[in-house]
Amino acid sequence: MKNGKHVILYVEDDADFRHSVRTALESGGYEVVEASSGEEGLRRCEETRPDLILVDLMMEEVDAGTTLVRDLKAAGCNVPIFVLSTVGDALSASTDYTSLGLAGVLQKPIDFNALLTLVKSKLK
Amino acid sequence: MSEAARLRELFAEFSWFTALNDTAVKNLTQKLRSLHFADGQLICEEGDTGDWTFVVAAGEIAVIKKAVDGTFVQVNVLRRGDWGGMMSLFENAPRSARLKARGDVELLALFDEDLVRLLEDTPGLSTGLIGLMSRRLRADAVHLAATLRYVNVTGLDVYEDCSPEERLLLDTINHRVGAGESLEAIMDFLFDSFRRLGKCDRMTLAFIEDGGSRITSHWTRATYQPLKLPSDYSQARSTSSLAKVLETGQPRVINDLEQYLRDHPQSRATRLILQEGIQASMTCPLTVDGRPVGFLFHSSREKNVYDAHQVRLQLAVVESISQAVEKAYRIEQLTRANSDYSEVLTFVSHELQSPLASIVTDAQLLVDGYLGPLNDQQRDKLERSIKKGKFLLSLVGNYLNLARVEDRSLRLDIREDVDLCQEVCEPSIGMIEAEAAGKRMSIERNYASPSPRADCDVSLMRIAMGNLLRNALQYGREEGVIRVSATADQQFVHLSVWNEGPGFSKSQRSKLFRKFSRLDSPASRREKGTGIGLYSTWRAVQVHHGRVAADSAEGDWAEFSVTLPRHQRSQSKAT
Repeated sequence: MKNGKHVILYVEDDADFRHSVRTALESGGYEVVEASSGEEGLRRCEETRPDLILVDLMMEEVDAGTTLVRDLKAAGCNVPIFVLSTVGDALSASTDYTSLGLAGVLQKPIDFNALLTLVKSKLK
Repeated sequence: MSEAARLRELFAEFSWFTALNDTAVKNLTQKLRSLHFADGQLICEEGDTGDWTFVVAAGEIAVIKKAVDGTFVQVNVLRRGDWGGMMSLFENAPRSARLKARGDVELLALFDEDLVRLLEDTPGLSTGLIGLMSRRLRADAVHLAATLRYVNVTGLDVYEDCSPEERLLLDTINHRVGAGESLEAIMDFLFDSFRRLGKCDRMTLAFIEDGGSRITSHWTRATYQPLKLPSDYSQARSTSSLAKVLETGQPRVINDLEQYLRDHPQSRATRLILQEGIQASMTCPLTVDGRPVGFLFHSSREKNVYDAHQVRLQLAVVESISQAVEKAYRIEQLTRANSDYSEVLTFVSHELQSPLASIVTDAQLLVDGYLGPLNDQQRDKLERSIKKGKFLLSLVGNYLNLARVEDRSLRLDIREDVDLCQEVCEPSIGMIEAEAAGKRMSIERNYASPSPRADCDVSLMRIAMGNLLRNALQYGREEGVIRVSATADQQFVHLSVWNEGPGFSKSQRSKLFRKFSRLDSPASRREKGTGIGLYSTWRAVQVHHGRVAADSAEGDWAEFSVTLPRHQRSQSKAT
């Protein structure tokens, strides 16, 4: 929490996505912290102690998303983590999502209503 | 070249024509109309009204007749200079056969009323035409004799004189093809069955490739080793004696290969197969929709084993497997012709996917009013863009999956004993849940307990299941039910997706799993599909040695089911 608002960390290499998601989340009353790579995401997580994390599954490195989730867990992060993926990615990947301990998988293009509902349910 | 000169060249060998005077030739020339047909194009259908006759000026025409048992048999080929379509014209009867263009065809056509006038005005023309017709009859008789050599026309129903074992074989083949089994599985079954029936020591399936110029073995099994004639043997069509088999469309039996080699010492394939100890062979052309696509070879280490009954049994088998052959044939063509295709496709699709998703997301942000209010017209425009963007995204996603399932170098990443509900069904359902909710569709789960498990490549099975679910979402009834089932028995696991909705008719069923196939129905016209999803499913399941089946009560429901063996034989390579 920061200034009475829940903090959400969004790790995404596409600036347009970061802007759109930030806009929607801020209008929902959340504080948004951005990171554009897995490495930066890990650092920002330690600095800002977010209440929820959104991770893009396919950043420059093919497995950057899943690696970050594993690193976050290993670093003792226990807040809900959602991954964002595009249709083909998620189906093609043989990743065992349940073993990653994710709170859920969100589809791109992003349905903002679904995103806000989901975030709200996790951050009561 | 003037039209008259062209005709003179075309008819040079007909004495009746050269006897015509210039006026008569001129009359004939004026009445002939040039018609063009592309390769494979239908010229006329059996039963059409036949009020015109023609002479072939270029290309070839396959003459195809529907036999009593409903199968199509190529009975003749018309070439440059051949006259056709005369029987129905003179008899005023419907066309007696289906005619199809082979290569770019030009016909010089003469219409009914013109012909009558010409015959009256042109002395010598009628005798000429009678000469032509008797020539055709003579050629047909020779052809027929060659056919009768093997086929007992009086008893076309091969089923009648089959032994119980042979009947079982025919029934089982039909069943297996109907169940959508892979060509490899069907061929294995065929070989094992014929082996039990005797008279089969070697079986090969070959395809005609490279636009018809090569004949290449696709599948071979034998009761012995080693094979001297390699299992991937390939030969130019021009040097092969098989060209004749293709031309007649009839099986060829060689009951004494030693004798055949003495008569045809240049036949390398015969020499090699004799070295294997093979003594007799039977070759059956495979046709799909009248078009030759390959051969089924049947060989024995005994001489004189193939009789008319064997040939007819073989014809019945070939007819049954044509559906499976067609699928395999198409895959073969595509993957061979485009070896880099998958790679390029994957690259392009990935490059398209991210920006597309970004465009749609930005548009959604605007529509949802996060950046300020929109008027109705602005909102409507954006919503249309979102819809188009989403369609393109699903297209790209489907192409990515297609590239993955068609990658010939694909090594299956088989994991043992995968929990299919948790690792295949649920993640796939997760992909469509939000959209289903949007259409107020409910998703029911009918999972066996304990959850069915099987060895599989999880990513491929997610593609397969994801496509079936997407299909149900797309064509299912709004506010309807989608039911996902997962059950198992001793050897197999069964996954299925059932949905309420318009479904499909029996005749549409065979088209479902073809690539780029879209059904023409009100529902499919409304919901634009890519024609790739079900094909990818079929392919993904096929590499697991599994089966896909489709069932529907039209207007009511549709169900697609996947059956997988619980255990994969080995970490096999996709073929």
